[in-house]
Formats: sequence, structure tokens, C-alpha cells
Amino acid sequence: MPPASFPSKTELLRGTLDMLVLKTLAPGPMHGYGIAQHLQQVSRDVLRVEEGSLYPALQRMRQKGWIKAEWKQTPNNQRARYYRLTTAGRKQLGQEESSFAQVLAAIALVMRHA
Amino acid sequence: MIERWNRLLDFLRRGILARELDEELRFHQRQLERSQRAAGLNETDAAHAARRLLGNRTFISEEARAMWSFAWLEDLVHDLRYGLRSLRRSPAFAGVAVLTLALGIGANTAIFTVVNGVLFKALPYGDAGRLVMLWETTKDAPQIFVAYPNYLDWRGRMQSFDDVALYNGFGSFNLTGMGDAERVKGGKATGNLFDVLRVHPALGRGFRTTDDAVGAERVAIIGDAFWKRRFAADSGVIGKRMTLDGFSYTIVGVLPPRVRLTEAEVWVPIGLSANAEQFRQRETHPGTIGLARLKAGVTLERMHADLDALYRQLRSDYPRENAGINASGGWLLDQVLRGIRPALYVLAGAVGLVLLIACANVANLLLGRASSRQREIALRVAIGARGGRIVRQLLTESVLLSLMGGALGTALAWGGVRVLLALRPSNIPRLAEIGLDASVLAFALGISVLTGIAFGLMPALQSTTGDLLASLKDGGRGASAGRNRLKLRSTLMVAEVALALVLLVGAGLLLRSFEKLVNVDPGVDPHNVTVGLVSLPEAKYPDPSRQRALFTELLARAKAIPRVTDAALASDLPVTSNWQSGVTFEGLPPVAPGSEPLLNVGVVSPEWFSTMRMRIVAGRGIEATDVSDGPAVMVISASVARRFYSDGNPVGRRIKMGRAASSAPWITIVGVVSDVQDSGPSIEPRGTIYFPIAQNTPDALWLAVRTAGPAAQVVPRMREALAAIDKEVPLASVGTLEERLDGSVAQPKFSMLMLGIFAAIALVLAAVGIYGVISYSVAQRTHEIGLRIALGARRLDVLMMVVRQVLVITAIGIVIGGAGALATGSLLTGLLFGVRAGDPVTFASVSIGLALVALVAAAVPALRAARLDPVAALRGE
Repeated sequence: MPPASFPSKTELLRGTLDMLVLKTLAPGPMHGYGIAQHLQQVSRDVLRVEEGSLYPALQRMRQKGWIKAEWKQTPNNQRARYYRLTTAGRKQLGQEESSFAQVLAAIALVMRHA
Repeated sequence: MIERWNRLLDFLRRGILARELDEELRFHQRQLERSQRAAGLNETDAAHAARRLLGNRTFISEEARAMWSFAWLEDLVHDLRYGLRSLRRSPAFAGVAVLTLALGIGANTAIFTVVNGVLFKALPYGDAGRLVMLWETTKDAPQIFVAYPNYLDWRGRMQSFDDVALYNGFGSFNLTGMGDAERVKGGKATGNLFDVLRVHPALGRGFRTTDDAVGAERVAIIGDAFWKRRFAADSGVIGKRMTLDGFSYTIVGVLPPRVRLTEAEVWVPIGLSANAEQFRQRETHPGTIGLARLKAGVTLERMHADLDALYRQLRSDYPRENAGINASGGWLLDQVLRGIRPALYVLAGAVGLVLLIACANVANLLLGRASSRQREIALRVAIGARGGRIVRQLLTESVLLSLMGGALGTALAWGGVRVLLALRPSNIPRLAEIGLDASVLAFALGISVLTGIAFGLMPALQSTTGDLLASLKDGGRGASAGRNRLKLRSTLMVAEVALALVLLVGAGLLLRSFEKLVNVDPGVDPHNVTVGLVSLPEAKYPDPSRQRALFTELLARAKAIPRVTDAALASDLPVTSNWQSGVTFEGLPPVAPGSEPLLNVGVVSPEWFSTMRMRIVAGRGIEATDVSDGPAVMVISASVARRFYSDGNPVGRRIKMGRAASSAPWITIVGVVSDVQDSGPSIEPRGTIYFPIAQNTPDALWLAVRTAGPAAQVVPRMREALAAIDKEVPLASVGTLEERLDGSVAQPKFSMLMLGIFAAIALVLAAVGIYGVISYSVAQRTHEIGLRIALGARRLDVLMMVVRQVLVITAIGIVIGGAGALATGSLLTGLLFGVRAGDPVTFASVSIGLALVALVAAAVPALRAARLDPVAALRGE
């Protein structure tokens, strides 16, 4: 089965991508390529995030003050731009997780009873 | 909030961000390539796949870029760049416009600087709006000084006052024992003066009530300037001693810099002198002014009612001393600004008119420019620019112009204020403290932006309306749009002429009244006369005979100075008289006590009248034979003779100082002398009576010497003459009599000069405007004029056609402006002397002058029209 492409950005709720990125950064800093790889691997190739969505989203979240960017060396000595969560970003992640849980539960309820 | 701030930061470093994003994306691409190769693809295929996977890099960049941008800010930057470029393309236009605006904005900024410094910051006291100045009144004089015993009765008996102080700020002291002897301006004040003003000394303490009493230890408070001048701003000055008029005082405080109630540099408690005759007696009014802080909520009316009630009581308690005496007062601010406020308002109005003319002028220039830009604008509209966007573009340009004009104007204003300060009109308070500060700069910025919108809006709106298609088609010559624009420009020109006329009439009126002022015969010949004040300290010269001895010897030594032709002594100079007294005339019907006529009193040496070149009208002058133990005599001025002896010769009649009931002796009039303008040129002389020095010796006299030719080296000789007698007595307030006379017209001169300068600017601007409109009109009509000439019109006819157009516009402007000048003329009334606000001579000459200037301004384009080559003009189609 070919990997399901992540919905194009017009269909994707922006908040969902933001939440996934924030969650990905929660354990520690990571560069853009790493974030994309991580999402793809963890979702077992179900979620493939397009670069055209990822990088603008990173810019937006940086402006909102949720993440900070800094240039660092990768383990194999390449310069890459790492993103890390700020306190504001951690708070935002918490909020999104809880509302996501609520929505998920609500959808589950609807699916069970409909 | 954070997001907006980050956005702005991102906008500012969008170049860096773009490079970083690019690098980031390249890193991503390299990683993709690696993973593809690892999956077994060859080099080219891997790169290809990576590029495909990465998608459209430009798209990502665009997306990100949108997040770093501020649409309006970028538009503004774009508009500014565009505006600068288009201004650089027409430097002549930009130059004239910026210069015009600089004149308008500069004049306004300069006057605002003065108004801001003088009117708004006039009183450096706490809650100065509650301070009132107080004086006493008699029937014959609306303002006399306050009798010290009456002041003491105010305290505690005036319900309206929080507290009330009394001061005499116009005296002076001989300062000795500290280097050169010096006459310092000094004042006496009640102990609470600085508390009433809410002024805290910068150093040391203020007066205490215990300082303000007879026999108290003598203490003094000094002003900031004096502290810097004599003590080099030494902070250890507190506790030092100085000798004033022979008495030693301890310095206890230094006033803050801005506090200058009067010219006084040294203050001492008035209570120390409470036993002196002038303060002890209720019927003397010794140079003292009241200063009170009104209780919260108390109005001036309440205070006046309070004063009236108190003075009814004081008149019945002291019927002899207080007969006819009342008291009055007004807000301190109004009193301080009394002389200058009308002049400043007129000047502020005048610069407002100048700015309007400047706006009209630049609007005119913009309209002229709009015709040549019509095609450019039409093209921009055609390729999709919205009307609003174009108006904004044009407004950005005009605000840009006015900001440049404002910057240049502020520089001009800075220089102009320096010139104003150099003119130093003596009775404008606090001029020395005036300078450019934040509020002035804010004013200049605000007025620049408003000006830019004011003159730019009409041309901007005008250029986006009308038939754009037509202007595209006919290459910008748009006949109908051109006609509309010409109508608009003619209207602007009428307005400019009208505004200029209002200013010119005002300047003309002030010029004429100044001319009349300086041509008033002062009654003396001030040329080559040098004067200086000699004040004898009470401690060293306690009695009249010692004083007389010094003055007699001084006069003898002064006469011996080479090139001195005359020398004389007098208590007052011909421009100011500081001593008035009510008098009673023998044989005239008696007047109610307190309604006695008030006359100036002078004490002079026998040589005074001849030194001043005054004429003896009847009888004789003061003579050397009028000695202290001889019969008491006086000489009266011609106006006194006219006013009180219209029935016959006053010589031989008698006058007594004070009331009919007073015990003063009757003194015989021995002569009548010609009048002197002793209260300034614009005020009818009150009338003066002169006593001989020998019979009435004061402790301070002016020494006046007349020299043959200019008095170059006479001042040091005068000082030597005085020092030879007593080194501790300084010669103070030295100067020429001409300077003194000029000083009395300094303020009218200032108003006239300022209004004259503004009117001249207005005239130049109007001339430039007229030139612009007529040139434009001739250019518009090139084809028509060419046709006329080709059809046989004479050159003279063409010339007259243009001249007629100028005259019609100018005439309409003059009629409107004349009406405006008549309507606003009453504002000038307070500043005029000997000229009515509706003076027909001024109106006529100014109108003719303005019409002539209009013709000269139109001459070049008119001649250009007349010399037009019809063939070229028609081919130009």
C-alpha cells in the first residue's frame, strides 16, 4: 500500500500540524528535516508532511513565540537549524493536547452511537 | 502582542531570514538526497527525486516572506522611494516648494518657540494660576504702591487669601567688601514671599518669619545669576557675609535659576526696615507690591469684594492717611504678560497667515506639476492602481516635501530665535530662557505633517478625478482638465493676494505708528549725553549735608572732564519718572481728600534744564542761589501750568505736597519749564514739579554729562571722578541717553520688525505664486495666443491681455484682503499709536504696492507671451 499522503494544507487544520510539530519537539530540539522524518516514522508512513506546509508553519510558530530557532552542528558535522520549544510553546502544546483529547473522545462517541 | 513585535523584528531582518530559510531548505534537500542514495538510487536520480520531493522552493519562500512583511509599511517605503525619485527628477520644483514651506513652517516654529517660552512657561512657581498681584488705588491713579501698615492689616483680615506677601523689587544696594564696589539690583520682601510663590531655594533656606523683624540678624537670599557671577557658583556660599549699603548680611539661601520675580539679584527681609519712615508711615506708598495666593475656589470678584470691605474699614480707621485709598488686584500671569500678550497673539496670527500663503503657493506648484504628471497618473490607473492608492502616493510626496521644508524651517527658526534674542526687546519677560525644546520640535513635526496634507490633498484629489482617458489620449495637455486647474489656481492666487494684503496692512500700520512714536519730540536733546546712577549708602551718608557735599564735588569734577560741555544731576531721567506725589494748589477750589492730582516729582541741580536743552517758558529755572537755608522754590512743567493755571501766570503762586490738611510747607513757583515725555513717547506727560537738590537732597542721583561730539572716553573719566571722592560708591546703569530713549520704544520696534519680516515673506511668496499661475496660464494658452498673433493681434494686445488677467485676479484679492484687514484691524488697536486701524493712507499705499509687485511678478510670462513665435506655437500642436 503506498503511503497515504498527508492531506494538502488547504484540507489540513493548521492547528493539527502545529500540535504534531510541538509534540515532536517536546523531548528536545530538532531540525526541519528531522521533524518531517520523525512524523513519517512514528506514524508508520501514514503522515507525510509536505515541506511546503512544514517550513511556513515553523516560521509562524516562531513568530508566535512557541518555538525558538538556532543554528547548530548535526552529529555528522553539518550546519542545521534546530528548533526547540519555549515555555509558551510547552503551554500551547498542553492546551492543544487536552482539547485534542476532548475532540477525539467526542468523535469516538459519535462514531459509536451513529 | 509578542507576535506583532516578532513580525516587526522579522520585517526589519527579512534579508537575513530569507538567507537562513534558503540554507535550511538546502540542508533539507541534501538530507533527502542522502536518504534516497541510501535507498539505492544513483546520484542524478537521487537529486532529481529530492528536488521533486522538496517541491517548489520558491513557493515556500514566498509563503514565508508573506509572514515577514508589513503591507502598509512596504507601501510607505515604496511611496517614499518613488516620491524621492520624482522630486529628484524636478529639483527646481522641489527646491522652490521646500524653501517656501521652510519659510512658512520656520516662521511658525520661531513664534511658537517664543510663545511657548513666554506665555506658557511664564511663571516658574507652584500652582501659579492662583497667584494674584495687589496694589492700592487713588482717584487720580489706578495703581499705586501699597502702604506697609495697610499691608500688615491685610494679614489675617483678608478671608480670600491663603497667605499674602509684600515686596519691593525695584531697589538696589551698594555691594562692598567683595572686590569692586557694585550697585546690585535688590529687593525687600516679607519673610513669606517665597512660601507664597512656593519656591524652594536651590541652596540653603528661605526667609523665616523671625528674619522679618526690626533688629533681627541681617540675612539675605541671592539669585542664581548673582551666585554664579560673584561667587562662581560656590556651593559653600551659605553662611558667607556681604556688605549691602554699609550693613553686613549673612547669605542664607540661593534661588533656583528660573525664579526672577523682578530684576532683583539680592533679597533681604523688608521687616528689617519696618522702622524706616517710608515703611512706618501709612500715607507713603514705597514701591511695594502685594502678592497673594487665593484660597481654593475664591474668585477675583470675591477677592475684590473682600478688599473693598477691608478698605472701607481702613478708611474709617485712618481717615487722614487712607482718604481716597482703595486696593485692587489681578492674576499675576495677566500682570506679567500685560504688555506682550497682544503683540504675541498678533504675531502668532501673522505667521499663521504666512503658513496659509505658503500652503496655497505649494498647492499651486503641485497643481502646475500635476498637469505634467497627468499622463503618468493616468497610465498607473490604467494598469490597475486604485484611486486611493494614487492619492496616498501623492500625499506621501507632499508630506515628504513638507517634512523637508519643516527640517529646514526648524533650522531657520533656530537661527531666527537667536536673532530675536539679539534684538532683546527689554520688556518681554523671560526671553533669555527661550530655546528649542521637545515641545517645539513636536510642534514643528506636527505642523509639517498637517501642512503637507493641507496643501497636498486638493491637488491629489484633483489629479485622480476628471477624464483620465482624455489625458492619456491628448498627451497630458488635457484642455478641459487644464481649464479646471487654472480656475483652481486663480482662486488660490486670489487667496494669496488677500492674505498677503492683510499682513502688509498690519505691517504698514505698525510701521507708521512706529514712525510717529520715534518722531515724538522727547522734550530733551539726547545726543552726546552720557548718564550714570550714583546711590549713596545710608550707613556712610546718613544726613543730607554729607550727601550734598559729595554730589557738589562730583558735579565740579564732572564739569572738569575734557570735552564735557555740561554736567548736571537729577533724580530721574527724562524717560522714566519713579516718584509721584499728590499735591494741593493754593487758591484753587479744594478737592476731596484722596482725589488730589498726582504729579511727577523731580529733584535737579541748577544745570539740569540747560544740559537737557529744555526751555524756560516763564520765570526762571533752578539756580545756584536756591540754597538749603534759602526760601523754598519749585519749577513746574508747561503741562502743569496748562492744566492748573489756565487763568494766568503761575509764577509766584504756591503748591504744597500732599493733602490740603497736610502740614507740608507751601512752596513758591519760580518758573515754568518745557515738557518732557517722561512716561514714554506714547503717553501724555503727567506733569512734573522740580525741586532744587540743595533743598531736597535724595540719596541717589543720576549724573548726566554732555560732551562735544560723541562721548567715547567719557565713561572711565566719570568713574574716576566718582572714585576720587569715594571708592566705595559705584557708578551704576551707565549708558547714553539715546539708548535710554530707544529702550522706551523697544517693544513697538520689535512688533514692527517682526510683522514687517513676516509681511515681506508673504509678499515674496505671493509674488512667486503669481508668477507661477501666470506662467502656467500663458503656457496653457500658447496655441490660442499663437493663433491670435497669426490672425493679426498686435504684441501689445497680447501683453495687455495677460496684464488684464493679473490685474483682475489681484484686484479681487485686494478687495477681499482689504475687507479682511478691516475686520481684523481691531486686533491691532492696542499696538497702534497715532494711526487708526482703518488708516486709508496705509490701505491705499499697500494695495498699490501689492498690485505693482503682482505686475512685476507677471512681467516675465507676459513678455514671453508677447514675444511668442506664432509659427512655432502652432506647430507645437
